Amino acid sequence: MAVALALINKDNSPLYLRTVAEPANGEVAHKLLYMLHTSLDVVEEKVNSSVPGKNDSRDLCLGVLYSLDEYKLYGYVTNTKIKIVIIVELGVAVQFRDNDLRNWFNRLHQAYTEVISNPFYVAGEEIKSKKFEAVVNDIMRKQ
Amino acid sequence: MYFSLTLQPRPAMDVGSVPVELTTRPRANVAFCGLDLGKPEHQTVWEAFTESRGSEREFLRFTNYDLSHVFPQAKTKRTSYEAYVERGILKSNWLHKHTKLIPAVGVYFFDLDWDEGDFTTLKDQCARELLQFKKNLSGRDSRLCLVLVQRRASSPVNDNKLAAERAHDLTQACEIPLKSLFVLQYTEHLLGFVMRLETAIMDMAKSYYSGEYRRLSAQNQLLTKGSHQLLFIRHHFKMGTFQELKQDLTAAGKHYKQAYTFLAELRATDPNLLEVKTVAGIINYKICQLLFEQNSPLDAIHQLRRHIENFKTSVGPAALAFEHYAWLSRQNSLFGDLFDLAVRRGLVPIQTQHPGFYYLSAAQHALLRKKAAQQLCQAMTLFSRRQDAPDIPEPDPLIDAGSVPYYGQRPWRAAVAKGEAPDPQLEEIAIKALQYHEKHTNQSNIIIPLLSGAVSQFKKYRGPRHKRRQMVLLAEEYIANSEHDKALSILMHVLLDYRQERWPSLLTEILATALRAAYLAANPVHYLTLAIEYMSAWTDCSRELRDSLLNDVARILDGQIPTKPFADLEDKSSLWTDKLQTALKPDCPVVLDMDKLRSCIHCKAYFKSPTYSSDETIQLLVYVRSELNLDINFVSNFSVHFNHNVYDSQCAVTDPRVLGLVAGRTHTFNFTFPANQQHVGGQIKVVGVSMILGNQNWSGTAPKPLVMLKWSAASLGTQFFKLAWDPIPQKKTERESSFMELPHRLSATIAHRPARMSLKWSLEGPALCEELLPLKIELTNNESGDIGNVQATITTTSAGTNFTLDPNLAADRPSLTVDIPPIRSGSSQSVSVLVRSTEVGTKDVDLTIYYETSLNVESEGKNVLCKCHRHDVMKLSVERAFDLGGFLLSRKVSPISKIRAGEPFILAVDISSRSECGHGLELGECAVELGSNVKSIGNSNHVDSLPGSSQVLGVQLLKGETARDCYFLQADNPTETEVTSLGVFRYKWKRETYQHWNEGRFILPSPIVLTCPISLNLRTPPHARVRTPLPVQYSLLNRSDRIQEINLQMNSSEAFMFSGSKQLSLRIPPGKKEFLQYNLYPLVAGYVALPKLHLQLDPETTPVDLDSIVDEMLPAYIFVMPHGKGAKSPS
Repeated sequence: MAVALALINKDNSPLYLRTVAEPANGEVAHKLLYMLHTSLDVVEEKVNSSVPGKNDSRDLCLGVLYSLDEYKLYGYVTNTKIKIVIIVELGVAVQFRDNDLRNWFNRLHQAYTEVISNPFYVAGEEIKSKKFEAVVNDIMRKQ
Repeated sequence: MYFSLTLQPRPAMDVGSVPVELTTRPRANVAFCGLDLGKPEHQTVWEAFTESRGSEREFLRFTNYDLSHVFPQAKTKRTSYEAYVERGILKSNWLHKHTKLIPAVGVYFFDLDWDEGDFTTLKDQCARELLQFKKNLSGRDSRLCLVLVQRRASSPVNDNKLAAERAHDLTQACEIPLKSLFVLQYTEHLLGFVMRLETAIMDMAKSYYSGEYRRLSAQNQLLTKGSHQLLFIRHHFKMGTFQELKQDLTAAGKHYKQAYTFLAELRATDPNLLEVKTVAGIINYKICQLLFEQNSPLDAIHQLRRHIENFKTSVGPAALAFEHYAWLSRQNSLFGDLFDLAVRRGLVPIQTQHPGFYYLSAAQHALLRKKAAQQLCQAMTLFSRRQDAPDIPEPDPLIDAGSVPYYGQRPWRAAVAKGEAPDPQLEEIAIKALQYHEKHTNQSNIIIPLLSGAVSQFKKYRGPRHKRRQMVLLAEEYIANSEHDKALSILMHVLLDYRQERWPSLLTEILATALRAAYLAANPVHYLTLAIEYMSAWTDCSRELRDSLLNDVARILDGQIPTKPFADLEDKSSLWTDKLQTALKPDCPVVLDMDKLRSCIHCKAYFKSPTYSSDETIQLLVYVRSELNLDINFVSNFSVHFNHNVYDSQCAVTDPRVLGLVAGRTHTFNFTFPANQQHVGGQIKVVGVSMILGNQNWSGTAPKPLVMLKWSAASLGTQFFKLAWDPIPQKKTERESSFMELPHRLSATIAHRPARMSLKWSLEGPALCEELLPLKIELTNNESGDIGNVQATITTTSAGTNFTLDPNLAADRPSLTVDIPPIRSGSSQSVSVLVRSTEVGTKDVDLTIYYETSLNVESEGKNVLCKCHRHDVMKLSVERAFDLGGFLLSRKVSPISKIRAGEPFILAVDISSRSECGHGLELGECAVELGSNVKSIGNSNHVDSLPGSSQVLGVQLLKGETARDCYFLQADNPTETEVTSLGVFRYKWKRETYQHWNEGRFILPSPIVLTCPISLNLRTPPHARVRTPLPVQYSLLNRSDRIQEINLQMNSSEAFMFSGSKQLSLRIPPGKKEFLQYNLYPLVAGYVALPKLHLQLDPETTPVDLDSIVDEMLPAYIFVMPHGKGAKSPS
């Protein structure tokens, strides 16, 4: 369903990047990567401009970051400023409920928590975990 | 029948663009006539109308015409559309005609004052000219009005009979209604008149456009839906335009939307697709413009979305695909312009919705257009028979491109009737011609401004990453447009940020682009920088490319030009040859800042120990690792830079055998050097590491460039290794530990060598407050050699504690430095200082001894003068030495709290020792400094308080013992405050064993002094004897300044018999003394109460008993001795 997904650390460097584009189609992959990267503009803005009082019980899910001609971008920020960005094709996004989105983000967050609980994982390194990968695969699988 | 084109042929419209008439909001068109701009008055009037038209003015557009100007003639209106053949949607001249040429209102100006003498002639002239003007406008419903320009102010027509009359005449002559006559008085209120006139003109214009609108709407009724699809669109567009000219934006919007709906229903085919899209673009533009104007930007955005959605897939003929992208690009950029205009008028955009997105979209479509054009037109080799433009086909099918009668139609088959089949041969030639034009269009000139527009918008609305992304696109376009230097400078700029965020794939790609730009621009410095970075392990650079880049670096260092990094690049050898000469100078190396790069060579610096004492050798390890596949053998110098540059020369390697960097291996450079004595107590820091590439010792004729790679402390330390993706492979080889795990430490402290000196404090008991206490410190030199330049600094932070060296000088310094003569090895030296503390408590006394000794430091192999210091703290406890107390005693030696003026009293000062110092404290001279109101009276043993006269002089006190010093004093008359300060008691003291006298002072009590009217005295022998007469004498002294009446009564006593006045009235003048003699005869022995004397003052008036004074001043008892055995009783 999702076409691209990124887990980004607090310094805005990627911990995990994934796009559905086939390796041969460098152009699409490239475009999606840039999209993931530029979406940080909106994420940062949303994180920094949280209105006191409004975001008291901080909702980690940022919702739609913005939508383009073909894609819609969703964001999520953990309390430790780990950002998750998901790109969904506009056609898919139409038949897509808020709950599904939250469910995805929660699963990814959970998977990430498990990754960093692994004593062999050095914090800040690129994530290479089969379990994490499985969650991502599930989110990105075609339906 | 068609109205023939009187317009100048205009340049061909770009695909998807809108006519210029639409870009600004249309204003009602007004024609002026009769204004001679040569005349200053008319010029002023003209300027009043046309200049500084703010938003508060009516939406009018003025043109000044000559009387000879003929306006476009009207066509005969159709009454039926049955035979009408549709040839296109929107006529390209209509808008211009109705917004610029045909006036809604014709205004004729004429100079005429009401009181003009020659009125009739002028009236006729005016009527004639107005008629001519009317004739010029014939066939149109344009409203007409006459404006009289008057130089003289006059009252309104209604109040002015002459004016009313003449106005009537004039309107009659001109055949206009009275309400079409206006007066413009050329006075200081001109602008006010103009504004009012404008309102009137606007009303007329509105009525004209309403008329046009109604006419058109009636014509629209004649159409049938099946056969007049195009006309429906045209009519609604026209009706929209009229409504807009009427300034009814809502109604205009409705018609435009209606037109758009009809258009969307139209079945577009390849031949008319461009026309449909062009018109759709125009109408969409109008709708969006009006929506922005009505402040509903969201609707405008939705409209654009729908519009793009409608036509996104209508590419049209595949051979002209680029036209479709051009159209899409144009739709977006036009919308961006509209959005931007709305922003400038006060709309507030948000981060995710601002004009930049549309410019970006436009640029992206422009890029697609470029790509399509490259695919479709690259093979275009045109045939032509023309000499001047050999590539253009003949006849040129695009020759009429600027004058197609309908928007968006192809010039080679303009205005053909619906259903007419195109000529395939002509089509083919025309498409080729279009492709040819496209090929010769500089696409970059379209893309670059769009991207620049997007960049500036994203910069404005907080999209730094978007902005950078577009800057990369911009740079790519500059490369395509052969502006390599511009591209390179943009890329070097954005790389700084991309390196920060470390998205490897993005960074790799931008580096590759930048490397291309650097090669094409032949910029050796940037090329080297980028190559070194691009060769790193984390990029997805191929192995071959890595090798070739390394080879290139070596070539540049050897003064040769590099090879092409990418095969598809243009060969720039000649440019490189020039640039290499100028950019790289052999005498001063080019510095590359490695901090900013994610480079392929890494360095780490490590001091083995965090602290080095000044006689130790500093050991510094520098690890260097190259991640390249090949060995590097062009490093000629490696040096470390410190915060103190004296060390720099000691940490440099120039031996080329050591400096070759082997691929994938960590090199360790081990530097050892002694600490400089000047830096003892400070820190030594590594501030940078530098490496010179190239041959420094080259002595050949052709100069060879040198490059210095420089790492600063930031990249030698921790920062670099906080990467999200580790650039250094984690795999451990057998011999080497991971580079990441190597330690790093960039600074070390150079500490003082520990002093070998022992200190011994000698101090007797606790210090006493205010005491000048000698403090003796013994220093013993435990060094192997003698020590010199010895200096002791004794200091304290406690307030009230001070030091001195000389007991005769005041101890007033909280710190003291003593120079001590050199001490031989093993011997001792002592220092004495005196300390005085004014407060009780425990004080810290810090002692620091500095000295120098000559040492043999192993690394230097010679004797070095080494500075050492020894620090010690001593706790000094301070106690109080004495408690002092002052008491007042009456003459009867009984304590009193108040004293009476003129009466002597005794001052007793008790000094009690409290110290436990083990020795007695000896008191020295004591003295009372009396207050002004008190004097000492010499009596009995007391002399005036002169030095040496104290009774406690030389007294020694142990703990708990008290000494008392007494003074016989008398207070003068009471002061106003009633309290009299007795003064200060000063005393000197010392410990038995010490020499110095310490001084102390004690403030004496301040008792209340009372006045005393009468002073009493009794003279008796010291003792009496039983049954022996005892003569006594009472004396009464009047101390007041009036005569005192006194009643005296002597009470009888069982112990005595007495003779003398038992009861008496006395009168004592001021200052006089009265004596009373009594003979007492004691009857009992012992300590016997004397007969009680009772005095009463002023018995007649206000009797006052003086019992208290009597008690105080007169002795109450006397000792009566018993009769001695054998002693004869006096008879």
